[in-house]
Amino acid sequence: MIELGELEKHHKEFDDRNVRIISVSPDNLEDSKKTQDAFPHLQVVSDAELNIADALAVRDKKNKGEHGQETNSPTTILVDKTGTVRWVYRADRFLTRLSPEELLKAVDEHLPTKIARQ
Amino acid sequence: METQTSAVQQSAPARRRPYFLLGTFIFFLGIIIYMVQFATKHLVEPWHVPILGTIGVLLMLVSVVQRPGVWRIIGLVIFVALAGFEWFIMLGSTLEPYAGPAKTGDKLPAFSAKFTDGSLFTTQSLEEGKDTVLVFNRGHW
Repeated sequence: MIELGELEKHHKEFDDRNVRIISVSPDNLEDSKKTQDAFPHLQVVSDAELNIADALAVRDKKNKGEHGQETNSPTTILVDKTGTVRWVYRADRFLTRLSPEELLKAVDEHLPTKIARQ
Repeated sequence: METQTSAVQQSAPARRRPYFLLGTFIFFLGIIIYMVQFATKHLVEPWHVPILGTIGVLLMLVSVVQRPGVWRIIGLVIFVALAGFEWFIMLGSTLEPYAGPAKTGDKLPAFSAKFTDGSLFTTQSLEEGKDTVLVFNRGHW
């Protein structure tokens, strides 16, 4: 959960931009609740049936999860307030994640909403 | 003369022995750094794990060349396999480029899942007047 921990730590900067962070994983509801408790400023979604993963084609077809389970290729999608996709990012390898700084830069570039505090 | 030879033989193991131990320490140092990295939520790719693992194995190899022994060779083989596994994980963790339906300028296709409070998360949830960063994780990490 390195990525989520970093995003939680920087949640204020996303709040200032009026941007919410929704984390989707194939964890079941029980595990997702634990994740939600650990990162209260993020919104955690349980996609145990891989419904979103398949709809958006983010299921990792090459690598399985740590227990051999089906899982996602780490992917970040910026969606504006009308539900329109503004940016899609996928790293070269699943050990790589965007840092909060990189993500905030992408938000400023692709979701140019006025900063809430202005 | 005999006394000198005996002295050399006695002191030799003390000089050579640390290579294997040092190699083992460096090997595990990479893993320990990675664990600390995880615990402190630092977002850095763990290239140091296979690199330190390889340095550790090379030191063990020096030790085995200097003083071959069954246990040392068995240990070396195990650590070579582990270092190979570390490289396999780092180099083999590549992802396919994204080629899915989420395209810049388009709406997302219909989907449905649940937030942890039981409420529905659908494509309509993304049209509620707030920009969204949608992060897909592997679960557990």
